[in-house]
Amino acid sequence: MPEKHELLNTLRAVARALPLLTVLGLPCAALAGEAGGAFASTTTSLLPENLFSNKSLFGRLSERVRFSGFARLVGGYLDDGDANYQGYDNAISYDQHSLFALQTDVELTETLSFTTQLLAHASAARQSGVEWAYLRWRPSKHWRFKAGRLRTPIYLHSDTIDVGFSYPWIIPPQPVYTPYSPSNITGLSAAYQFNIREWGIETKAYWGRFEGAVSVLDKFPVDVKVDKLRGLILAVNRGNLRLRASYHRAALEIKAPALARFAGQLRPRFPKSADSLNTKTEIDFMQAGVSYDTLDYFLKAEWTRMSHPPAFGIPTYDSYYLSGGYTFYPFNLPITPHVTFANISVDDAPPPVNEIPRMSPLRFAYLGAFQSDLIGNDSLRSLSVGLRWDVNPAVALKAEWIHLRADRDKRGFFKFDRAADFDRKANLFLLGLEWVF
Amino acid sequence: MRRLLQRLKRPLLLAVLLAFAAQVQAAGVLVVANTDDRDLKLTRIEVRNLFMGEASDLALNAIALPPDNLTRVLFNTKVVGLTESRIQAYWAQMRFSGRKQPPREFENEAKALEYVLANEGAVGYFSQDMPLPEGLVILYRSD
Repeated sequence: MPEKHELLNTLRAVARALPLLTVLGLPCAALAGEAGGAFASTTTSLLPENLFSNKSLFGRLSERVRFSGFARLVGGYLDDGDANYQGYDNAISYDQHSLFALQTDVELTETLSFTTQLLAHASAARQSGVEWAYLRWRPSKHWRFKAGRLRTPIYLHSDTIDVGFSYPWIIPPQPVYTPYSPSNITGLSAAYQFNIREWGIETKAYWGRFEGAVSVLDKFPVDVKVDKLRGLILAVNRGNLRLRASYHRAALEIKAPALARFAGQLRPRFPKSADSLNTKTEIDFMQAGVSYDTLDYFLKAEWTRMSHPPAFGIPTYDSYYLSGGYTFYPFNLPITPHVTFANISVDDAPPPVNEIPRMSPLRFAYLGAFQSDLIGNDSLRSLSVGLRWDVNPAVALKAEWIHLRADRDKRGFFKFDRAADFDRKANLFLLGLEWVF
Repeated sequence: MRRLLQRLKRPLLLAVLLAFAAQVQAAGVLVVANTDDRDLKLTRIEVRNLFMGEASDLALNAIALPPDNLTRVLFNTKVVGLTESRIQAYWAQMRFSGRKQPPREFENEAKALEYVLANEGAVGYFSQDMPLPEGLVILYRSD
């Protein structure tokens, strides 16, 4: 049975990562031990009678080191045999969003701490290992600085995109939470928070870079270089109402050496054609989101816009989602059914330039580049209906049905055989178990 | 008899739940601090912000009760305005994004009170029936 096989693979991936998690957790603990030693007025030996007493190394460790984590097991099935959507096809798979993570927070001093988040992904599209590792400095309750490997702070939920427990869906609305953006960056961030009466305000600036692969379609990693990624974020909340607006800029480049070489060959005689294969640009990204929660219901909406001077294989688009849910209490356990509509409108990529003579073989090669998977309009609409059932304060069960629909001339993040008559409509069924500890 | 019980099972369950809900409606919570500022009063939103870890200029340090504690359920309902599961989702978001940690939890109200008494700036929530010793300041009283 293929499903069983995949589940086993998922569990194996998690099991494989466990020793890694333990090994990487230890240096943090050791670091805390040293830090603890520096602050303790008396020295302690590692004699057995000292080991578990309050003032022992072990006791100090437990005060300064905090372990926590989260896990999710997600199974999904796409009801269409002609296409693959983000790794899901018409066989049940467990390995696209299932993961296990362990976070270690080490308090080095009163204001300085070190955090690592180790993630074991079941998905081949994402690498397991250190997802986060940063130093955090909180000189006062207003200021917070971070340096290291950070989460890319783009959306309302991007800080905890892997912590399914923190949001109602199994997969956040994909037309907005696109696979385009890298999940982490190496850089710095500074946040300042304060309050004006009942309003809590947080302003944040960050700067960083990313070099690696992003997977726009299943099993189609694209090497990208994101440099000088910087942004400003303003988040305002009053009670359970939260507003967030952000603006980001970056130098983005798709690294495609073969394409660059080809453009180089074209340049002396066909400069316009060569320019049209340029895969480097300066992107502008805007985001605005709102979320409101009460005892009975929640409402969320988010909008984004990506714009930049034309570049080969880098889309410009507008996207948004609207989501709402209502909570019932049968058997005293909260059940939240929810509905979400999401849309991404991607602008058509600039067409090929008509510069190379018809008979030239270069023309075929040039036009061929525009047939690659790098070019494809991913405009897509989705309507989803889901259910979140909070079994206890640390475990939630979820179910979701997502109807995906793209226009016939669009790709819509689907991967399919161009020869097949795929109607650009599919239903994705998901079941998920979320756990935090 | 059995069939009668079967038929009554749902209305009975509902009645029990309603009675529980009514009880929850009737009881109130007090938010109490160990502070020198005897006139300090907070609004519901300010109390909520304090317990949800928002930055504040008040030199106060919030403490909490465990998720299954009835007074916590009351506090969630009347002050925070979120269910326990939503609050847990919020703290998961805060913890795993490295922003803040939830308030320290105490086993029961007696232990929480002991801590508030011993620590200046400590704030806790208690059921309105809880006998409070002299010297503590009531910052907020729910309906």
